[in-house]
Amino acid sequence: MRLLTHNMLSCNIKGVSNGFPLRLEAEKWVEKEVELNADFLRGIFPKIEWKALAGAARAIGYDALPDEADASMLDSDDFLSHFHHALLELHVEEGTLVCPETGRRFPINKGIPNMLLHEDEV
Amino acid sequence: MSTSQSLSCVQGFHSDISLSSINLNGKPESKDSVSACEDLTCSPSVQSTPDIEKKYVHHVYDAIAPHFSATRFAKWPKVAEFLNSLRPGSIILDAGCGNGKYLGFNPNCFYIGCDISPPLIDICARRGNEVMVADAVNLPYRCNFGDAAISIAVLHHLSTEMRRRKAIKELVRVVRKGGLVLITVWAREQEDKSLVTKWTPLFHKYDEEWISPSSPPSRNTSTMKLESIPEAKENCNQGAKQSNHVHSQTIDDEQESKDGMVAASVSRGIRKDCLSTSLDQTEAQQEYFVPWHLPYHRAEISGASASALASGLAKKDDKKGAMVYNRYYHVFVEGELRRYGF
Repeated sequence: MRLLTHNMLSCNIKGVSNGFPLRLEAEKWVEKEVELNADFLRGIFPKIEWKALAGAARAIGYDALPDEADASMLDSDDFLSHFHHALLELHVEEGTLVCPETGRRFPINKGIPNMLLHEDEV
Repeated sequence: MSTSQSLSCVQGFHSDISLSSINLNGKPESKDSVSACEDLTCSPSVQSTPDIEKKYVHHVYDAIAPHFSATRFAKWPKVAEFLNSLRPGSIILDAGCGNGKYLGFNPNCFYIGCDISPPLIDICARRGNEVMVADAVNLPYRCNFGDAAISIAVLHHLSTEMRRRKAIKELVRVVRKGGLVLITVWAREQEDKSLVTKWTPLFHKYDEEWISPSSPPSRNTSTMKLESIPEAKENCNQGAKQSNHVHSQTIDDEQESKDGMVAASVSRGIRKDCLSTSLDQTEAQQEYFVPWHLPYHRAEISGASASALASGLAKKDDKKGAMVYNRYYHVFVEGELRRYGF
């Protein structure tokens, strides 16, 4: 699971209104290099909830992201490089996503989150 | 992206493809709740999986996943065209991605896929795709993230109109204002009319257990009736928050390799007390079981065959050397997806 995906995921249990962002507990992660595409990064930046991204990156031990970010930073190669790395090159292989409101734990195995709910949660 | 307000609908009566596009009027975005839950289609039970889908969609795909994946390679032209039309850098959400056939199709875009079947998702993940196990009726995504969403041959596996409507609503919810949604489903109208005769029509209400041929009926079925056309109200503006194009496309029989869906006549006598199809009911019939033939050597590998046989979910066809699984389908009639439109 990349952090780009994490940035979209939200707890959808019935009645939950603050299911985002899911807290990341990463047990195993890998880095896979992929070519940086500045246009892509600039295009996706407005969608990204920055605090969620920075928080998830920190949970994997990547501290290079600033706590806050604005679009002017996209002119900086350093910023782009860190943004790119956090968003696309960090893969959580094993871990858990935790709903901030209910504490419900969604497992991540072999890089695949399982977001299915139980009968009583729908 | 066009912001035209007109409702334009192109519906060809080609029996293999019927295309309709709907322009949705925009409403201001609501950032409040990730789970937009303000209308009829969002009652709690709509997200609970009915038994018929557990048995005849989920379990079947889990059992046939590798074989199914091996036969899923041809890219449908309309889907390819849609994906290639998207702006580079688009985030494309594939809800019900199956074996990931379309993930990464247009390499300029970033894909996130989900499916209800863990074995199918495993196959996707092994190919390096970004995927998760999730339910298309209740996507675990915050609103407005995607640039486009696709639902390719998925909605016909949902057994109630409310669930199908909810799934469409989810597709719209998770894409941004101005984003695009493509939906494809199986059509009732087939170019090859003989195909329909190979499907088993379903005449019972879906909360009943599907009883295997060998076991006695556990319920009094004399009061069974055709599932009526659902009464859910159509409201074009309700819940619509984005300008979207919803392209719906009904396609003829999936292209499958020879050892997949072998054309075979399906016994209508699965239940001794089953009503036989009468001609005047055929036109209204949209609920079917469609067989999947899983060759024995594949069934051995999956290991699910013994329990499937025991539970009546599959039969053996020694002549074909295959396990026969039934998949549940609600096939769509002309104009139906438009009727669901927001």
